[in-house]
This record gives sequence, structure tokens and C-alpha cells, in this order.
Amino acid sequence: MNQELIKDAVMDMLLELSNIGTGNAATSLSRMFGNEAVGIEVPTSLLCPISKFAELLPNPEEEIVGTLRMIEGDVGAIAFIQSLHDALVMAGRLLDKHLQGLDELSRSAIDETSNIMTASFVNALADISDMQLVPAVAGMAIGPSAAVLNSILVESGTVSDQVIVVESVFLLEQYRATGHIVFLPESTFLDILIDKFRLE
Amino acid sequence: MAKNVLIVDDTAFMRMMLKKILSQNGFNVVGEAGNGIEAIELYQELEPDIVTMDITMPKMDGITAITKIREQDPNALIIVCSAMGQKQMVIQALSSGAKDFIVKPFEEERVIEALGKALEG
Repeated sequence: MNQELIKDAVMDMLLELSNIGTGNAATSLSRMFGNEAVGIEVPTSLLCPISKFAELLPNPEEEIVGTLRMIEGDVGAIAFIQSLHDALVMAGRLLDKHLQGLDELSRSAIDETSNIMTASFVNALADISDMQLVPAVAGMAIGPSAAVLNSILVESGTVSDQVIVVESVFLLEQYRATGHIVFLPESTFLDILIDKFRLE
Repeated sequence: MAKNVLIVDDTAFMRMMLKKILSQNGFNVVGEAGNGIEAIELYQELEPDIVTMDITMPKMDGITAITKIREQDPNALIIVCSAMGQKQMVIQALSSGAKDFIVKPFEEERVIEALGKALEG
């Protein structure tokens, strides 16, 4: 198989996934925030070896929130990762108040924001693959990024050696909130995605 | 008379949002369930006029709960509220007996319209 064509197909697939997913997410956030305008920057995305996964977030001590959902069938797992600060800012918009720490309600609001963000990308993956994708209930971890990323890897249990990472930046008035979608695909599903964009 | 609603969703935040919307629009929220099993139990106990049902939940998902509730009460009115708005999922929910499918995040008008239409029959 021509490696250049595969490379092009991967690039096209990443572009499509990040654009549709981030677009879906911004629309959803805007609705959740009472139709407040939510801007986006051009998302960045990459397919990288799972060994590079820990390098995603440069500061291993930074407090982050990670939610992980398995997707039924041989599809993989999807995680949404955000700094605790940005997660609290977004959850605060939902609750219409300034959140300083974690209580039951703010945790639940963070859970719901993560749910909507993940759904935006699962729905994008479903569009691209033309398959019905059913995510399971999420597990949420809050703590230093090194520990959270590690628990995502362990919990996902996927056999894939590659991950797709999409970084989205949402503009909430003066605030830039960043979120990472990390998709750990089973290799068969990754092949399905790439095949959709092969021009051979 | 205010119609009685049972809210089923695994996140407390979403239950709170729905309760607020429904209460402000003249509905009476009689119960809240966090999973499909609780939904079935509370449906039997409270006999609500209508149910809002999430799909992805722990212990028992919403589609299974809809099927089981409608086995007991074929006239049960259930509206699905889920972030999983994929076509196949909507078809599956409607064929299991849901009256409507609202994609999260929802708008207040859409929720009230869906419940109103289902209750009108």
C-alpha cells in the first residue's frame, strides 16, 4: 500500500474529526450556556504512538480532570481531559456562578460538560465511520496529570498502539478554555476510519 | 391539573436542570431516578403521567428501561433526552416505545414542546 496515500488519508481523517467534533462541541456548549456565543480556534489533531501519550500535558503535577468512556463493540475508548481550572470555569458557566472548588454539584456539572464534549466527538466518529457508536457510562478521575493519564491508559485496556488526540480551544467571552479529546481506537476501527479517506 | 413527571438521568446536574425547566412550566416533578432500575421501581410506585429518560446510565440503560416499563404499562409516555443523537440511536429509542427524542444539550422550549405533544396524544 502506498504510504503517502495512507498519510494523506490519516491527515484528512484527523481534519474531518477535529472540525466536526469541535464544531459539534461549540454548538452544544453555546446551548448549555444559554445561547451565549462560544468561539473556537482552529483545532489541532494528531495520531501518535501511545508511548507519547504522557507528553500531552507537559506538567505532570498539574491538577486535571479526565473522564473515560468505553465504546461498545471493537471500537475503543474515548477520554476528555481538561485542567481542573478550565473544567471549573466551564462548569461555572453551566451553573451560572463562579466555582472555586469541588463539591457534589460542581462535580456533576463537570461530568455533564465532559459528557457533552465526548458525545460531540463520538457523534463525529459515528458520522465518519457510518456506524452506530454507543459509549458506556463514564468514569471520572481528578488529580495530578501524570496519575490521571496513567489511569486512563490502564482503565481503557485497549490494545491499540496509537492514539488520536484533538486539542480544542473554546472562547468564552474573554476566557480561553482548552480541552483534549483522546481517542484510543482498536486497530480494526482505526483502519475503518482511515479507509474512509483513502483515495486509491 | 399539573402533570406528574418522573425524571431519569444519571447526572444530578441534568436532573436539576430538567426539574427547574419543568417546574417553571407548570409540571409537577414527582420523582428522580439515576438509572434504569430505579426508573422502573419509581414508575410503578409513583405512576407518573410522563417520563424523561436518559440513555447512557449505569446499572441499566434507558432503552432497556423503556422496554421494561412499557411491558408493564403499554401506555407509558416516555421522552428520551440523550446526547447520543445518532440516527440509529433515535430509531432504536422510538421503536422501543419512546414518544420523542430530545438531543442534549436541549433548549427549554424543545423540552416543553415534546412533553406537551406527547401528553396531547
